[in-house]
Amino acid sequence: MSGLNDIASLDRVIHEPARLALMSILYAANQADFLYLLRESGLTKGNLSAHLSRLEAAGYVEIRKGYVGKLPQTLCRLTDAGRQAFEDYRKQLGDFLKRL
Amino acid sequence: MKNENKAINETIKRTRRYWYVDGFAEIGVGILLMLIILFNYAAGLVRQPTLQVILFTIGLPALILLGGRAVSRVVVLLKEKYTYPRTGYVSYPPREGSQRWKRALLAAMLGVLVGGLTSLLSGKLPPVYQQGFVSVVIALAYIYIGYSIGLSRFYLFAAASLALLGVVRLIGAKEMDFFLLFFLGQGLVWVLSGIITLRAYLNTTQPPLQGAA
Repeated sequence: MSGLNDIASLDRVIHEPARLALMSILYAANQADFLYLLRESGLTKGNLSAHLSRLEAAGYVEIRKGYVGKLPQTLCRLTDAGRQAFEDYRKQLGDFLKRL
Repeated sequence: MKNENKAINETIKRTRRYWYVDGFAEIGVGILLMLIILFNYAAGLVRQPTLQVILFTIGLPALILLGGRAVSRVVVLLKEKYTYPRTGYVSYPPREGSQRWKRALLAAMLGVLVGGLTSLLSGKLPPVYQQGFVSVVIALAYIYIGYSIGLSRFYLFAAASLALLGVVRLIGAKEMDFFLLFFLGQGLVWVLSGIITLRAYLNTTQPPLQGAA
């Protein structure tokens, strides 16, 4: 039962595969732009926007829009809360795997 | 669950090795390495003792520090022009104070260890052992970097390091000339690897026609 509780207590916002991939990228980076996230995640633009919005709404990701020259640029970064949530998620996952 | 854990680790490694995706960093490091070894060699040829001390104690650290910063700046500028518009922008978190000190301490300890052991052995063992020792330590460092970020071409760097030992020994270079040729060769390996990587990168990616970022 403890194993099931562990799974149930995993952060649902992060646990979704596409968002987990985005969180992993942003954890390793200080900032990444939309183009990089699009290429690395393999998501469509619409899907990527939706997942980023969900992470932003949870307070895990900060999104800033700007320009580089004439090109628009959307920069994403993990907030402190997002970084902490991701570390907690990895710890929980690690603990669960140890018990298997 | 195991797959998820593996995927997280692989994604983190892939993001970290994105720095090497275009070869600019390798070209920069290679050029800096060659400049440092040439400066070191030239300083060793200076006959005037005071000037030589100044070159080794001030000139060389200044070249490493300022050269490192300049290379880093140029690499970022090139990435901004060629890489980020093609495959996206990533910046990395600055190392925190304690992390930076730990790395500096580790590098210094490694330097002292290699230098100390080489000098200790220099009187007792033939030069080939010292040269072999330095080559193996460098090869091991490449293997560690390659493993930690999952970049397989660093394993080739390790093989090249050992191959360079053989080639420079075959040429029959004397002690100082050995290290000059060996480290110039190391720099050249970095530059060549960077050029090959850059060529492949530019051939396989396209700049966006419109703002996609």
